[in-house]
Amino acid sequence: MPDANLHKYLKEIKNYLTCPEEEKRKFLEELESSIDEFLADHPHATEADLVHRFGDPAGIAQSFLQEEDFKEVQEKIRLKGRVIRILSVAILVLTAAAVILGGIFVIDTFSFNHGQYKESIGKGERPENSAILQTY
Amino acid sequence: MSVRDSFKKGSLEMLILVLLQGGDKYGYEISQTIGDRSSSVITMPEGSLYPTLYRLEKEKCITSYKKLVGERRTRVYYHMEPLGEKRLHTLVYEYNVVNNAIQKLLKDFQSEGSM
Repeated sequence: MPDANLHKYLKEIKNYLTCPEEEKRKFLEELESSIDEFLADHPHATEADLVHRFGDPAGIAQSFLQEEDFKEVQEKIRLKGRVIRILSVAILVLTAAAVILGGIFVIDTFSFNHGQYKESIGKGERPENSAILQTY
Repeated sequence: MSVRDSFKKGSLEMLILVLLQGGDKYGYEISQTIGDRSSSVITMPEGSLYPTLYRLEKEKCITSYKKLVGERRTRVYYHMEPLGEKRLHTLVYEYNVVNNAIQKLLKDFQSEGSM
């Protein structure tokens, strides 16, 4: 199954690549084209054949990461970390605000009945002191 | 990594550019030509070329294009750019400078060894 081997091999390389997705995609695109051609000519090739022809997935990924400028990689990692931190704090703040507001709403609705006290007087009821009324 | 492997890695960029100076080539062709012309002293799996090819392309030393091979298959070819020519001259110059210096040191080493 050439496609299965191709995907497995590329997935292994991808797993070892610690770089932005866009970089991974561009790099793997060219490699995939060559592997595809090899598998078309050798439909019964195994993963071992792929490793023999193209190299070990970990080795390829390591070579790629070493080729990247170290400062550039550091900067990318730093920026990514900063974005993740900002997003995490924003989500935390929004969640806390939602919990607090939700709590206020619940307490307000079920405990105080919006501050209103309902009174009702039944129609046609005689006042309790009817003896006094009859005198007059 | 063996000593020979580290030497190979250091000269890979120069070897790729030297071959592309002779005409457009695809990945496997580059890998095979390096092995053939070096009498199999320098051999490297095709996959190990791609990180360097990718970087050279990013730095605009080379460009790539797809060519139709057969009915439906496409192959990626690499082409040398003027910036790549300039880089190649610099690399060859630096290589010769370093190589000459190493040869001098080895000459002294061999002299001491023969005493």
